[in-house]
Amino acid sequence: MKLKHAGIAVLALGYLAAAVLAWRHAHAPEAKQKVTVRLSHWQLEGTVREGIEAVARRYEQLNPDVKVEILVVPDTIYRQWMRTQLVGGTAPDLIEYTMYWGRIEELAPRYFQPISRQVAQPNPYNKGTPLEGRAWRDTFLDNMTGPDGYNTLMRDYYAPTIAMFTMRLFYNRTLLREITGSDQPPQTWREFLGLCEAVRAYAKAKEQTLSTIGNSWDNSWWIAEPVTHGMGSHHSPKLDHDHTLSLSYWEIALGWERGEWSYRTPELANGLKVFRELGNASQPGFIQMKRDVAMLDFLRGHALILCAGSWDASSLRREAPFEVGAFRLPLPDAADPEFGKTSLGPLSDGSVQTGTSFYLNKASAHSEEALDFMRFLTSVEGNQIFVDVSQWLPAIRGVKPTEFSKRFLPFYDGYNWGSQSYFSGTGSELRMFFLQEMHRMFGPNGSVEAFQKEMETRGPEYADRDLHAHLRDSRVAFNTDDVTATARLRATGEADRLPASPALLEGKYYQTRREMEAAAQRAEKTNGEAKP
Amino acid sequence: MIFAWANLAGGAEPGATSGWQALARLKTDEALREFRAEAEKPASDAAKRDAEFGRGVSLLAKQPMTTEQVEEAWTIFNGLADSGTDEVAQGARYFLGRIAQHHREQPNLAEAAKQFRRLLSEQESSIWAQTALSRLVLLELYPERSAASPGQCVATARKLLAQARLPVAQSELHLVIADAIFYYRLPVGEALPDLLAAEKLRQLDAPTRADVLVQIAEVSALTGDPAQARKFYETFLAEFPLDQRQYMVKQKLAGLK
Repeated sequence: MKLKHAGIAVLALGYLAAAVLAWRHAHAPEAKQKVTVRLSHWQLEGTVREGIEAVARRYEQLNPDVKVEILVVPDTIYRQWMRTQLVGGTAPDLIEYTMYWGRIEELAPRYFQPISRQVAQPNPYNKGTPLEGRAWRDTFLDNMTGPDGYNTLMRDYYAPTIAMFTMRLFYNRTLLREITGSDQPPQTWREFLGLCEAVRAYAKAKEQTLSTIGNSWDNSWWIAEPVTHGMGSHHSPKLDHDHTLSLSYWEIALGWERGEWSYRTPELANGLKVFRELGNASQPGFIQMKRDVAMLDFLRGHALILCAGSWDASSLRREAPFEVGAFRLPLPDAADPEFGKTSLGPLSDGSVQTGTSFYLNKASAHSEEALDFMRFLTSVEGNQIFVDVSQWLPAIRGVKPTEFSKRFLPFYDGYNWGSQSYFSGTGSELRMFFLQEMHRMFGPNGSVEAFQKEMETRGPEYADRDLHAHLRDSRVAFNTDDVTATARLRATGEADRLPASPALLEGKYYQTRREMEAAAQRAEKTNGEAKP
Repeated sequence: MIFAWANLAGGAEPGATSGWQALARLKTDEALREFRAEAEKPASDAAKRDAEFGRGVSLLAKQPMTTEQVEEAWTIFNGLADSGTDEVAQGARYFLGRIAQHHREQPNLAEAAKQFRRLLSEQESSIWAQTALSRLVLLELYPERSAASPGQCVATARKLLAQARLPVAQSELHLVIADAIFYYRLPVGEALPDLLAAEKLRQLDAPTRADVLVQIAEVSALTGDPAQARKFYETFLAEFPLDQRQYMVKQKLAGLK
């Protein structure tokens, strides 16, 4: 009996102890339900991943109730992955995206949360810094006016950015000294052509596999953009119909549709000639290669130069067994004997625009926490941590670039007609067509004429697809915007999206439709006349 | 601006708030469930109308979009618009215009304009009428199969300015009119009053303001007013020190007589 009582007592004590433990566990501060903020990006370069991780860990120290989970998805599958996640409702809270990948008119209203009200408020993480009390948007070097930071047509701020980039020609300083006797890179287009000749002669004499440029499909894109944009600058004022000293998507796209420019326009034709020279200075078969191969060629000493963005600088520093230098591509200027008449200079690196933008998922269950992490990532402290580890250029005022990244700071004093380029043309379809057909320019049998002819014959079909997609996306954008603006008005009384959204976008929609109809009529007339 | 519109929107019934919240996040299935449930509850007529309105709006966002769905929304909005003068009726009228304009496979712009005009004639100051105004002005600027010249279209559109009640709406109308003048390649000087008016209204966000300052300066220079051009170039340089156009604007400024 005593034993029975003792057993019951032990059981009761055990139960009591377990209950106390459970209660203590449930009420312990560390057991408080942690919120997990998920962020996705595709930055596998150098120490960038570590940079974002370092900021996340510091944020968790400051905010012990929040865990930041970072998903890194290679850029080759990122877009498809992101789409699937968004459609399935499983996308992260913060999503890296760039409008250069297209379809932002469709994506933004459907999946991304505008943050115009939030960026008008100060960033609390800037307390005690010179940025204390300033609106969050004004703490960015570009005041969040880049195409991802602020969507001009939606009239909303969307994605905070964390870095700034420039395009550079990275070169093997040791090899350059061996070839030319100097480690100073060329300053003019003619000097650059001279270097190409010197490299060919050196490779032949040494019986070595060596090209001036380590190139690839991806790198060609990065070369084509500044070359066509820069060489086209002389023609750009003729397309600037709205007199903003900057070309919009519509001025370029509808300009193409109206025949105001083509790849036979002298400035653009000269741009193709420059592009052909650069292609012919690249390793054979580069069009079939990916950017990793181009970088490997450069790192193995099979190419003197690699055209890349400053985003690759930290990878190059880490991997290269030689000293790496960097210089701007010296495009022909007004003094050039062949292209001078259609050249404008000096050309700038473009606007002060920041990138690597993170959009807030509209369906995020933790939007406040996610936005708070973005505030920290783009604060003076957070961005400095990121910049120090990643070796990228900062996006935030007052954040200091490292000694290494300083050399990639942009050059601003020159002509620039905005972030839309001729290479982007009417959109992603025409741009892909350019890349698919660029092989016609290169090699002993290639010519600019062959490319121009192909572009004239089949280009309109691709441009048409772009414009149709653009119209479709635009309709989705303003229809969705109507719905969400109405819902916000009814749910919270917020009427900030009505009535002004987005009349300018709709105006462009009607302009595009008119141009497409006019082009179709012209084509019909031409076809009719051609028939016997 | 938010407060001003909120005042105009005053009188809205709270309605099925959770449905609207779901819809603001584009959770259309959830929103539809909420609105249907709200409609079945014993509630005031206003709350029932709000839920019905929510159901119509949700149908315009539910994917995949079907013709039947759009027509169902049309029927809902038609019923609401013709059975009252409250904010729900105004919103429904606005969406009737939008369905005709963009949601149907074959747009009917004349029908859209008719709905927007009716809304403006009945409730000119309401938020829905003012929203419709910025849509109607585009239908006037870019009419389909019209014999009107671009100049006539701009003149017709400009008449709508008289119905814009708040600075933000006036500013928006001036901007789209100026944009149409540039698009039609009409004499650029015709856009100058609209650009100046938009700038003066002080409703522009920073990127648009930067564009408008450059536009005013450029057009002033082109139309023989270097003093005004100088003033606006200098304002731009002072207000936007990091803008990519700094170099070009400085060149333009140096070239002014």
